[in-house]
Parts: sequence; structure tokens; C-alpha cells
Amino acid sequence: MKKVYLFMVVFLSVGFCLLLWFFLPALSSKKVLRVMTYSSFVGVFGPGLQIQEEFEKRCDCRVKWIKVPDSTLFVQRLSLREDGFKTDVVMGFDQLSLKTAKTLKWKEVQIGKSFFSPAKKFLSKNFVPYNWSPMSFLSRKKMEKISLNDLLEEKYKNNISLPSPRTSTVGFQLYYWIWFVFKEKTEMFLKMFKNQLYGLSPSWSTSYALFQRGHVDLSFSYLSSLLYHQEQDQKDFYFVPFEEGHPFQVELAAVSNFCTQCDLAQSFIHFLLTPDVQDLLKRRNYMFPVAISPDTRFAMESVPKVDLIQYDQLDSFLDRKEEWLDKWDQLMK
Amino acid sequence: MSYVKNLICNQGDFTLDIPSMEWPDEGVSVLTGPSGSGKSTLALALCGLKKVEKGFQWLFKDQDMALLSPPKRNISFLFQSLELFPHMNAEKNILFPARARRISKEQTQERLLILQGYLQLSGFLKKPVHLLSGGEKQRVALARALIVKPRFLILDEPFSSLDEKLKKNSIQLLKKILEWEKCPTLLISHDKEEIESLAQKVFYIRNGQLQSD
Amino acid sequence: MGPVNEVIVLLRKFSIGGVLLVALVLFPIFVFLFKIPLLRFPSSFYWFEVLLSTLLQAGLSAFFSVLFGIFGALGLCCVFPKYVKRGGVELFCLLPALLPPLVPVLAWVNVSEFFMHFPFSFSAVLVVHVLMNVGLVSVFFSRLFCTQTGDLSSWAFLHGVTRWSFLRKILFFEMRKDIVLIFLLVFSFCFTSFSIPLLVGGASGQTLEVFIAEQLKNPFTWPEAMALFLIETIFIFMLFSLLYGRGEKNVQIKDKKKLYLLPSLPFVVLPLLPTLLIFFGLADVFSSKTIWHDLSIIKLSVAIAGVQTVLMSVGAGVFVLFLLSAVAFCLRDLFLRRFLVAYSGASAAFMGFAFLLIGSDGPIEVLLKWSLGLSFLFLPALYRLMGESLLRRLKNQIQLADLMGAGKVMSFFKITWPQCASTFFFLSGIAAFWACGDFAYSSIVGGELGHLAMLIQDLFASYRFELATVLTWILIFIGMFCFSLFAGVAFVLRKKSYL
Repeated sequence: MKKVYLFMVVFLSVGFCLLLWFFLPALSSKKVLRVMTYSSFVGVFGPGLQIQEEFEKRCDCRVKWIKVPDSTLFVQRLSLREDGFKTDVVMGFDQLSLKTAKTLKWKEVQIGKSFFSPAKKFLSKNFVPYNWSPMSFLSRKKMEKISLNDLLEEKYKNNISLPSPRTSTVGFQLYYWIWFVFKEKTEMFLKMFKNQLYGLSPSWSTSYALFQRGHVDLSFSYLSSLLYHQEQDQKDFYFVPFEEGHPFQVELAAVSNFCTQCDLAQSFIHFLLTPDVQDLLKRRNYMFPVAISPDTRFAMESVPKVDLIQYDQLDSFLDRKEEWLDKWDQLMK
Repeated sequence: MSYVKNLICNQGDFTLDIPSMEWPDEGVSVLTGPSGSGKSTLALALCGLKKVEKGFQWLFKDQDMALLSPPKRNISFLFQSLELFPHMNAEKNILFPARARRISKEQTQERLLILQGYLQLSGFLKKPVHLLSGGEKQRVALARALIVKPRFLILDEPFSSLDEKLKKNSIQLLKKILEWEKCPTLLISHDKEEIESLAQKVFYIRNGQLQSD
Repeated sequence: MGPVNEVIVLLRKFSIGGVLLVALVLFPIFVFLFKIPLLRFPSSFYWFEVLLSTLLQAGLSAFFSVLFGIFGALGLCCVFPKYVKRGGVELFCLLPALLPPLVPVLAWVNVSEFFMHFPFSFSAVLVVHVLMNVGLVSVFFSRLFCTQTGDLSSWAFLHGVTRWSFLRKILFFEMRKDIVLIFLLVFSFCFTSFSIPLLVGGASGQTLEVFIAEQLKNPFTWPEAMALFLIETIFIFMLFSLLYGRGEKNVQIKDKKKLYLLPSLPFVVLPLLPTLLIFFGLADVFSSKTIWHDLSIIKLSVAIAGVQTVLMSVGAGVFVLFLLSAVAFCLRDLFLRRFLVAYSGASAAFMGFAFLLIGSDGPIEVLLKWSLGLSFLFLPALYRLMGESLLRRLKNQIQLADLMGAGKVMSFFKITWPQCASTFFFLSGIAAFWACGDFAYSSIVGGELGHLAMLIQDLFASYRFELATVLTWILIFIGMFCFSLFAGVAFVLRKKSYL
């Protein structure tokens, strides 16, 4: 028994020393900028840590990330406490979550930059885009242009993986796309489309994992996913072009009304639009840059030319969001 | 004499109702009756381990025991299953009540020596409980009950799991030790031999009520 | 007696410590009731459909788990103790129940591709729940058969009763209370399951827990989430209150005797197969050529995440140990203990948000919140698993100790703790194992820290699926290490005591 106690004492002492080593930086007296974002952005392969390193050198401050499991939880997290966790910047909204985001107050951000047109549409005095990507189905083989109706063919039966629109913004983008194209015939399309699905995953990552591991031939994802495959020298991944045009996702950042370092927050958002960070976002976040800058070599080349759908009817779709999601659940059972 | 009055204990579909009961301050009184008649319930109620209705009185030497908490009543109870503490050896089991009541070590050792003699405990005091035979366990349980000089001793069918020969020996041991201890004892049993050997008074209980004194 | 005096008498009866402990266990509810003064049912009746679907799923999962588990037990009876030692094989069978849900789900999806189209739906949730629980049920019943049915099976054998007649007409009736008990345990686990329906449920496999978590995402629907959570808690509470007591019986451990009729070797495949599938399903990732290079890039992050995982898991285990001991010390009253048995526990989402609302998000606070919150999450299930039956067995001894004049403290340290310590340490080990794979609760509490399961989730979201799978192996080893820390102490304590 004495050996057991000795072992526990040693173990606890080592643990305590490690704790001290990890947490000593917290004792520094620098200004702290608190940035809320989804956790994979600050993951080991995400761009967040490098952005943090570069910004900290510039501002002589500390960046503290408030990690949230996914971007749909930003508003909920900010509303939980009166001080909004003293969040300065929130980054990771997409155009589908703006309606909910606007239920809270945000600071104005002065931006003197030019943006590419898909991202420019969503630039406002409070919300600033920082990267974007068209979306479509990705395939293992090169395909000619098809339409959404072609996905109902027998060859795609049980061969498509999707994230659920209830739990994933990527899935919800697809739903909006289908509604945008089919309008009143959406239900009819979904009834038949259901048979083509391998399954509905809770998140984009598990849905794409099924595709990557060869369980399915098609998966709904970002065009910019190809950037990752190019980097890994994986050649047999292709973007499927559609006649109806493609949805796209724009990611936006904003300065929270709960900010304590509001000036630093403004600087941070400007920093996101610098050429180096825009390039970093392309290489590590696998999303395309939004800011047009003098150094346009990557900006113009990197974006493939695809037709995009409009988001002018987005609000009317979002007004009945719960109803559409219930309908989806009923149809997919 | 001990006087018990208005002992009513509700057990859902069964009620123990003893308007009055008297037993001597010395010797062994036996409580007998068919299974399910309320023998164990009565014993547990006297200890304070079962909830009784208001109005219960138990007078012993001008003191109402019903007003005392169970530990303060200083009653030793021997369960049918003995309930020896399996993680302790025989000696630690026996000494536990003395430690609980903070009786001095010298007094306890002295008492243990006497009980050792009466109950023939030598040879297995240091043995863990699970290695003891049935008879040994029974003697350890009895020693544990008597180590603190209880005010009352209640024995709930203590010999039911023993064979004939062992039972005879145990009855003789118990008789001897109770004669020395002079502790009023309530024995729950439906064995004729036990009743004949030990009882100075017999209570018969049926359906929760005493039938005769 | 005035109402205040009555409350004081009630508190004394239940012990103030006991009431405080129960209040602590219910703490997320109090936090939310403070934050959300109103309750409201969702406007559509979709929640009712989800509730019915959850009931059906939990019922079927429990039914098939028990059915296959009983047959699996017949196989285990065959191999114990003749061919193999019990401990290792039981741990092998229990692994699917001990591992974090992400691990077996990943593995089975990979393996199932060889022979079936994995159904991401209601059926998937059913399949995964059964695969996770069949080993646990088999181990439970194999122990019961080996210790309780020796005489009965010998009698039946001598009288020429066939195996199936013996099972159908004698054993199922003899063991019905145990069957009800294990059915309830598996049912409650499946009913309150969150990670598994989230991962594989799709549209048709959504459970009430997942629906509540979705309602919690939007501040405007928090009253709905709270109302649904209360419905779920009250339902499980009533179910256990009505049925749990009837499932209990006083088990006297008899000597192990030779079993006749029951042992049947082919059925041993049932409890072993789920674990074999897990290892097989996770094994193919090592064939990748780039995996070691990728791993070397992130080795420092993995090491840091690993240390945080160990700290969190060991912390959760320590808190569970403390809580179980507190229950044994404070909850002497059967009424309050029955409450703990019947209480389903807060969901990961509720617990996460409750802890978010209190304290700050500094690194030490987050680590403490992770450990403490996880211990609250796991306590009801672990207590139901082994804690309550253990304390019930000690009831007479504790009563006797009280009668002998031992105070509460002496009673606890001399009687209760020596006999419960080994089991409590074992249960804490299980809590530590479960804790290391949690991502649902700990990602909500968040902060700057990130343990291994969160790193795995991030890798998934960064296209690095093979690397995530490799880290899953590391997670399994860390979990087993944390489990063995506590199980080792449990083993030593058991050896040291006379039990």
C-alpha cells in the first residue's frame, strides 16, 4: 500500500508541475484579445495558431481563443452570460447564420478594402468576410456538367453522403440550394433524392470521411477541398459542375459589442485581410481569399470559374427554417 | 421487570400490535411463533431499528427506553445471518463495539479474556471471518454482542443454521455465559429444544399479536 | 409543529449532507432554472415523435442487448474457468461499453462496408447500442449463471430437461428480476444516449437528447429545451422508481458449482465479436505510408493533448471516487438513494452550459470543470451499475454498527469504506476511461485547452481522417492507462482485505 501512495504522490507532483508549465503564460500582463471561433480553425492543422503568432508579434498582446464546437453556437454562447465572455472578435459566421447573429448588437468595422463580388455581397458595417468557397458535390472521377435531377439516376443510389442540414451548415447550404432550384417541387425532389443517400451524417467532416475512405462516390463539400487534395498530391478528386449554378459559403468576422479591447479587435479584422493571412487561409483553412490586393497572383488564379446562385431569397427561406427542417426530417425517415 | 406498552409498528400490509408485554430483568425469555408472525419485527422495533407509532413505552428500571436513541439503549442484537464484518478478523469483529463505545483497552482486553474462556475462542481469533466454520462464526457473533455488557441481549434464531451436535453445544455455552453475565435476554426461536433448555418465560406471537404470556 | 420545524425534522431525517449531495447532483437544473424562469413546450409536435422514437429505440436496443447477452453468457460459461482466466476475457468483452462512442462507431462503419451498407439511421443507432452492450450483459449473466444456477442446472440435467426447455421454462423465470434490472440499466443508457445518435442517427435516429441539444443552440428555444429535459428526467425517474425495486433481490453468493445444460461454446462469439470488429476496423489505417510523417509533425500537440487527457480523466476518476464515497457516507436513507438510482442525470449539453455559466474560463478552471462535470455526468450510471446493490448489502451491518454505538464517521471508515473501496475505485476507473473520450461535454465548456478527443475531432474537420484514427489508438491506450491506475488500486485493496 505504501508503494501505491508513493506512486500517487509522485504522479500528482508531476501533474502539478506540468500544470504550472502550461499555465504560467496566463500570468503575463499584456493586453488580451479574446477571439471566438470554431475549434478546428485553431486546431493543429488549422490557420489559427499561425495567425495568433503573427498578430501577437505585431500588437504586443496576447490572443486568447474561445473555442466553440461549431459556428452555429456563437450566438448562443454570447447570450449565455451578460458579459458575453468578454469576447472581442467572433469569426466563423456564414451568410446563413447572419440572421441569427443580427439579433445581437455588434460594433461597426471600418474597412477600406476591395472584395471579390461573392464575398462583397455580404460585407456590411458590422460583418466582414475573410474567406469563401463555392460548394458542390465532389467526385472520384471527372464528370461533365450535370443537373440536380441527374443525381436521381440509379448509378448514384446509396452513393451520396451528406451532412444533415439540422446539425451542419454545409448540409443547410445544400438544402437552400435545392430549395432555390426547385421551389415548390423541393419536396418531390427530396422524396426521390432520399433513396440516393448513403446516410445523413451529423457533420461535414464525418460525411466527407465516408467519401474519402471510398464508401461513397459523391459527397457535398467545398470546391476548396481540392486545395487539400492537391497539397497531398491526391489527383483523383474532382469538382462536379452543375447547370443550375452552385451555392457558396462566405465566412465572416465581427467585433462583438462585449469587447474590452475594441481597437485591437478592429486591428485583428484588418489583419485577416492582409495578403499574407489571406494566403495562409488558403493554405491552412482550405478556403479562397476574399480581399483584392496589389499582390493578386494567388487571388485571381486560385478561384475556378463556376456559376453561383443568388442569396437574395435567403431571408424568406430562413424565416421558415424550423418548418423546412421538420419537413426534411419527415421526408428523410 | 421490563414493561412494554403500545408497541405498534406498521409494515404496509402487516401490523405489529402489542398493547402490553412484560418480561423479567434476568434470564431468557423466548418469543416464538410461526413464520411471518412478527418476531423479528418486534425485536427490531425494541432496538429502535423499525419505526413505531407514537405512544410506545418501554420501562426498564424506571427509565423509558423508548425515549432513548438506538445506540443509547445499549442493546446487543444478534441477527440470524450473524452479520459479521467480512473484512475484519474474528478479534476485530469482537472488539468493534468496544471501540465504538470508547471503552478503555484494558477493560476490553479483560473482558475479551473472560469471553475467550467461556466461548472457547482461542485458536481462531486472528482468522478472517470467511475462514471460520459455522460454529466459530456463531461464537464470535455472540462474543461481539457481549463485549460491551449490554443492557439487553436479543438473539434472532441464533442456532438455526447449526447441526444438531453443534446446536446442543451452543445452547449449553449460551446458558453458561448468560448465567455468568446475568443479562436479560430475548431469544427468538421456534425450536422446541431451545425453548425447553433456555426459556424462563415464553411469548407466543401470531399475526403481529401476542397470544399468551 | 410549524412548517419550518417540519422542514428541519425532514432535513435531519435525510441528513443535511444527503440533501446537499442531492442538490449538488441536480445542480445543472438549478443553474438553468435560475437562467430560464419560464418553461415552454415546442410549438410543433415533432418533439413527441422524437420521444416515441427514442422510447422505441431504447426499448429495442435493451431487448436485443439482453437477448444476445444471455446467449452470449452461455458461451462465456463454457470458457470460464476451464480454458481461460476470467478477468482478461471479461475486460475484452466489456471494451465496447468502456470505450468512448466515437471509437467503436468509426471501427464498425469501416468493417461493415465489407458485408453490408451501414445504415445511418434508426437502425444504425440500434445496431451500435446492441454492439456496445451485448458484452456487458453477457459478462453480467455469465457471473450470475456461474454462481447462482449450479444446483438448478444439475437438477434439470438429472431429470432429462433439455437446454431450451430449461432456459425457457425455468431459467427465465428464476432470473426474471435480474433480467428486468439489466434491461432497465441498458434502457436508461440507450434512452439518454447522445453521442451515438449524433454520430450515426441521421434523420430517423434522432433522440430526445440530440433534439434537446439542438434546442439549446438557440437562446430563444432554451425554455423548450428545459421543458423537454424535465420530461425526460421525470420519465426515467418514474420508470426506475416503479420497476427498480422489483428488479432487486437479495443475492447470496453461493459456491461456484459445475454447470450443466447451459454452457454452449458457439455462443461465445456473441460477446467477443464486437471487440474484434473494433480492432479490425481501426487496424487498416496503419497501411498508410504518410501516416508516420504526419504524426511526427504534430507530435508535440499530441503529447500536450495527451497530458491534458490524462489530467482530465484522472481528475474525473478522483471526483467520481469522492462522489461515490460521499453517497455512501451521506445517503444512508434509502429514499434519497432511490432518487439517485432513478435520476437519469443531466445530458452533456446541459451540463456543459451549466458549467459555462459559472466561474471563468482560465486553464485551471476549465480543467476542473471538465473533470467535475464529467464526474456528475457519469455518477448516476455508475452508481446504478454497482453502487446501489453494494450499499444495500451493507444495510444490516451499518444498522448493527449504529446499534453498537458507532457514529457515522466510524461506521463509514470501519465498515462501509473497507468493503466498498475496491468497487468504488473500479467504478472510478471506468469513469476515467469514459472521460478520456468525451468530446460532447468538454468542447462545450471549451476554453483554451484541448484534449485528445477534441484534437481528433479537429483532425476530422481538417481532412486528416487517417491521422484521427491513429490518434484514436493513442486515446484507447491512454484510457486503458487511466483505467488501470484506478483498477490497480482496486485490485490491491481487494487483495489486502479479507474479502
